[in-house]
Amino acid sequence: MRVTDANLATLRTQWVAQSRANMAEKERQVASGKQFERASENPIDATRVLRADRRIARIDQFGRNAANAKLWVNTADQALQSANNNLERARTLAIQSGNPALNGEARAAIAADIHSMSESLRTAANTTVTGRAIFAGTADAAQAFDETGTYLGDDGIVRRTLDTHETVQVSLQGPEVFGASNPADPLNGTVFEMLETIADAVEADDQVTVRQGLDAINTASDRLGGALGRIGAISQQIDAADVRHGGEVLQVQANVSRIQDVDIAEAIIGMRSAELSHQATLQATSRALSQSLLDFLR
Amino acid sequence: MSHFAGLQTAVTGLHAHRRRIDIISENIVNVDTPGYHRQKVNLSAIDRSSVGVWTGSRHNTGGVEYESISRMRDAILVNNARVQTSEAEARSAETGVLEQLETIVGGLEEGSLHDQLNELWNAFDDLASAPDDLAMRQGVLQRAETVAQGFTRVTASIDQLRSDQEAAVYDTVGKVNALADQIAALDSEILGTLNTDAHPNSLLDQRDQLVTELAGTVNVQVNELENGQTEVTVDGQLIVSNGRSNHLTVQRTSDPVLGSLGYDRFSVVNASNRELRINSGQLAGALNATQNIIPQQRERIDSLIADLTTQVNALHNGGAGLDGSTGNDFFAVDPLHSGTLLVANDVVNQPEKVAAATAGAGVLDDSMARSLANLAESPTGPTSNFVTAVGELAAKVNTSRTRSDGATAAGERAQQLANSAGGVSLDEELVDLMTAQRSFEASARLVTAIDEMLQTLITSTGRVGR
Repeated sequence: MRVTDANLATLRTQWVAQSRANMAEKERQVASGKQFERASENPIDATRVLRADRRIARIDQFGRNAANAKLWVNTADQALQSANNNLERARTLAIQSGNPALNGEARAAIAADIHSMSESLRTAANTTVTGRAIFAGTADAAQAFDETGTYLGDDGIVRRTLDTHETVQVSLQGPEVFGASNPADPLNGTVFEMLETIADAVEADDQVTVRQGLDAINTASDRLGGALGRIGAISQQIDAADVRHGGEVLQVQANVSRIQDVDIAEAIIGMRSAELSHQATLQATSRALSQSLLDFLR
Repeated sequence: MSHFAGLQTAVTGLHAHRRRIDIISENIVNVDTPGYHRQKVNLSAIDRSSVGVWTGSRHNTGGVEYESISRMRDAILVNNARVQTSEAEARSAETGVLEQLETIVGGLEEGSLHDQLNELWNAFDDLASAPDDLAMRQGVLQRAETVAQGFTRVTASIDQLRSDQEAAVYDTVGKVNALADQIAALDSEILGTLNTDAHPNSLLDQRDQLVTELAGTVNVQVNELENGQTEVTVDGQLIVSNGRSNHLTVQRTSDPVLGSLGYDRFSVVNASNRELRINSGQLAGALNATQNIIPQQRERIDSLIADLTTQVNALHNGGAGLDGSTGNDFFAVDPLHSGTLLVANDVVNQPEKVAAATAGAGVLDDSMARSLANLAESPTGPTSNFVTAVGELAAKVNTSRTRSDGATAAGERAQQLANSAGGVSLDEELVDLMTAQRSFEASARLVTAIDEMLQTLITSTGRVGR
């Protein structure tokens, strides 16, 4: 093949351009830390990266969902603890009221105390999270139980998504925690009805009803304890999901990194060698360009 | 044979070698001229019975004469280079369009449609955590608006790209016509020059260069005729013949398939209204982009939009807003402009109508919002479909780029082969120059020698014995 000057010039331009492009690509890798930035550079891995990105975005959201669930659960837990304390106090008062040495005035004082326990229990039952009564189900009610102890909520269940196929129930309905209203047999009704009835019985020195009331307090206390247990289990489920997500994020990120990130040491060495080869190309080109018969003619 | 015959022979040498030096100079100064083919003087010994240079009469003398100046051009290599370059131009135009499409659709960059969709699903989950919070509802609507505008921007950009390519079709056909005009004009000139028995090499080079340029724009076939003229055809139809050009025009017709996207069909026809098959060159790239590449991508995005609308609405219709309203649409496609995604009138600017609850459940139920959020990871959900579409397009770009790179490399190689036959090598010319110079000097010395010889005869003859 004849070597013509135009061909040589074209080839040299191509060589220099090629080695410069190679160097630029290596520099880009070092600067961005990514092996590819456009999907077309690696279509298969690019879709993997996209799926992983989506998973990470979702896990991030699941974390937010879990935080909200935790807020509900913790609030419910506090409300139930305080309800439990109030109930225990009411039990103690009811037992004290059985003391035959008490006079009417003392009994009236105990009855007033039991009343106020009932009121405190109702406050606990009306606990809210961001303005929403947590024991009112999915109803748009400001209170779960009104002043007369009537349940204003519904039987809807509030859930939070912890993962694509995992939800957690974060609400307990008022009636299953505080009892369902039963005007005919108030001792087996809501905890508020029951305490009102006991208070009235204490004031009237009706020891039979007070003793029945103590049994009813036991039942209500068991109910509250059960609710606390469920809340504890829910809380554990949320924590478990959080821990799992933390692990998964690390794993997914490691995977993405394996696919997309450059090994920085390797990239820097690659860049240095590309620079060297570019310098060599330039030097060789400049040397070769000056080689001509003209240099040897006098 | 006359004594002067030697002088005569020497003069033909001076003449021929000076001519060689002229041509070598021409080669040297044109070393970088695009399309220049090196020339070579073909010398031959003068036929002893030929006509004398000075006397005009038949002499029985020898000498050298330049027979012709040939253009060192390998027609097969040149033609091959044109074909390869034409193919490379088409592929590289297509790749350019596909790469632009990839940029428009996006994927891996921050804030891509993929990210926007994820944010929408996450907003639904946030809404599920607080169905009574109007701010959360507003947040969902804002994300939805971003997604809608994102998709609409993509289709609008694709339409813009398509109209750019339409313009490119017109421009390229204009360029083809302009080149055909110039080739035709040169053809007439070449014919004229040949008739005067001169060497039209520079005109031939110019024409070659124009034909090569034409081959880059469209698939041409060139037939070089005996009389020095050319016939240039596209798909068997003459566009240059007998020093005249036939212009091509772009025809815009409506097409049922493309029409559904609001596009027209473009074709290239000649003066007798015959449609030409264009399969290489920039024109082929632009036509393929308008006819296939861009409409296909636009359809793909339209289907993503339709699918997103259907899937979200199917769920949302079964939900209830904070105001108890049910059966509301969430997304809608503009009936007048396919490819325009909107937040449906049912919910736009009415955050209370966004369904977080399933119809019939409590007002503050959150199951619908959670179902909508779960579209995020559904294997057939809108995000998955989008990722699939990104992957498909990326694979197309990748394939096209590989083909284009291959075609470009092949074109460059073919071009170099053609150049290696026709290009100028300075070293070679310098050697030639030295040879010609030496030959010229020798011829000049010949004149001197004969002159001295004659002088001997004139001044010294008849002095024998003096």
